Amino acid sequence: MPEDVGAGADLDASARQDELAAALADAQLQLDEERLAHARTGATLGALFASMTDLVVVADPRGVVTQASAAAADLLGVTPDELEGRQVQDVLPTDLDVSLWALRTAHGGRLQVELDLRAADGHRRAVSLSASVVEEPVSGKVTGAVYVARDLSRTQQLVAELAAAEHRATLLADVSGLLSAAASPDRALQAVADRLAGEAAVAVALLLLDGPSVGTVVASDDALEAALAGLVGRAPEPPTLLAAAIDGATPVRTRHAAGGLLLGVPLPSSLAGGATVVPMASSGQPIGALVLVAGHGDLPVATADVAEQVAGRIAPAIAAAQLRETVAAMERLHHDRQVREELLSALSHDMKTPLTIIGMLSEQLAARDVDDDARSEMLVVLRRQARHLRRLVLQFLDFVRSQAGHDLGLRLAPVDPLAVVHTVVGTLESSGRVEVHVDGAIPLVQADDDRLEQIVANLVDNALKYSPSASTVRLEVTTTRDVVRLAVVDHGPGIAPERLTQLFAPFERGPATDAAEGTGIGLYLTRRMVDAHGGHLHVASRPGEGSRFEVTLPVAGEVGP
Amino acid sequence: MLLLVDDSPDIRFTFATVLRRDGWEVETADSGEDALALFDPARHDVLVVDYSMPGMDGLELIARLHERPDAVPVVLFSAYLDDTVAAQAKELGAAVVAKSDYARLPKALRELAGDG
Repeated sequence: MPEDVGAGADLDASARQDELAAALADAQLQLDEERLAHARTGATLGALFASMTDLVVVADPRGVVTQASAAAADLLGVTPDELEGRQVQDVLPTDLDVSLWALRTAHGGRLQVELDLRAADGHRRAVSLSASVVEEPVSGKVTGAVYVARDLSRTQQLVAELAAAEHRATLLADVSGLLSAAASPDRALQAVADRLAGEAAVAVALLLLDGPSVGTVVASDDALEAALAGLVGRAPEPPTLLAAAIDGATPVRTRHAAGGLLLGVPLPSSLAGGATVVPMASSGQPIGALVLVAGHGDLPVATADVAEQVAGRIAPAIAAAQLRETVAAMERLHHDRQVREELLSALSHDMKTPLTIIGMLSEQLAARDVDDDARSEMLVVLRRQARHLRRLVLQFLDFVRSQAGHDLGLRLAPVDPLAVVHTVVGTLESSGRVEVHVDGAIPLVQADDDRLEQIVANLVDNALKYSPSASTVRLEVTTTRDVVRLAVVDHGPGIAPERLTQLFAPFERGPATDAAEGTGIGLYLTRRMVDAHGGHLHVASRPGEGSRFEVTLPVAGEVGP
Repeated sequence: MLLLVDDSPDIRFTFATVLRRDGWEVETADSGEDALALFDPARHDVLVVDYSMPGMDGLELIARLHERPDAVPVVLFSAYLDDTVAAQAKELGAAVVAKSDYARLPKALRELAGDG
């Protein structure tokens, strides 16, 4: 069956041919697809290389550059075409050997380092360089290397700018903090001058005007402050830079602070460098100037810039402080006036009672039909109320004196405290409510007897006034070594702990304010009188149980031999 | 009879002396609490009450008396009178006289006693 065989062989050959053709077509198709894919990849890679912001260089196994990104060319100052075909170590000029050979041997196939690249124009560019050898996955055969470098100079510049901005912000925040936190404007200025001087290693001075003249001078440097003291009371005069800055409301800089041209006074020889004078103004009115002086050499521009910003912070703070001071002075004045008015009003109230009694009883005494017993009783009350009135007047005079800043003018002499205690108790309306306890032999004290009487009378009056009318007040007189102790103990409502501290302020009165008569200056003056004696006034109190006011007075010194 | 309430013995003495010469029978109390205990509508025709007293003050005493059905006229007198206190006292039906204005007291009392 050769025909059959032959025909079959032909058939077989034909079928085989078809198969091969189909396979070829498939292969062609596949190849086309791969070509297309490759072309796509190439296009993608090309686009990628063009758009990369980083330097990317691809090298073949011999270390010859086959591809380079546009950024690489930018960074190195050449076009990508100029890079291709050259040895990689030639196109990446650095102090480090980055050749493919070195990459494989010295760096173990991978490198990550920050270094400077020398561009064609000779400039150095800081870059972060990553390089790695590319190997075939299975065989490990080296097919080339990829170098990626990122330009760090812009980053470094940004980091430096950021750090400087942060630093400046911190400085300004510090200055603001110092200006608002310090106890007084002068201290705030000193703190600011010191802070700024520490910052820039220059001498810093702040001059404040008082009217047209220099009023206050604060400096970070003692020698500078001493030199500037000569300016106080004088108006800045042309042609000094100080006058120019203030008059022109604009900062003035000089490269040499030496001589008197800067401020009008010669500066210490330790300060001969560059200087800047920054005027400070508030609402268009000059209020002073900030002065920075370098020891020698130029004053850095950045420092002068910062000084201008700092001056911008100081001016409103000073203006605010001056305003606060003015307002406070006005408030003090108003308060003082109010205090005096309240005092007069309270005192007139307090005086009404003894005056009423004196008035009523003197009318009664004038009547003919008053018997002797009644008359003598009236006289006792009259004398007592007259004495009460006298104490109120003395108290008033003391208060006026204390408000005027005068001391009490004590006439000190050895005084028997017991005699004073008995005088006070003897002239009290409610003497029956007072129990006197004396412990031991009481020595003489160094005192003004009128004032001591007032001290005891005020404390006992107070105790009687603020405790129930049926309760007693205990007056203790004791002594230990070199002091005599006078304690007044009541069973009144007591004083809340939070009120104890304000107890001795003028016009402070107990919670029963509405119902309790009194000027409210009693305790304030009592404390002043005790202090003037070199003694102590101490109060202890338990709400609901009562209070204990204790005066300690120094014993009269022994007469020398 | 008149009940005089004041914590100051000298005030009590002085006003009692003057009021007695004016024809009043006078009894005294040295606190608001004492006055409440002592007050007897059968004996007392009128009360003269100080405002400033430790413990129960004059205004509180007047308020307490005001609650009673057997209340009698009251005069509040004080060296320390402010308008609010005076208004409150008047609202409670009391007459108000300043201590320094003591010459007015007898007339005010006669008026009150006459009305009552």
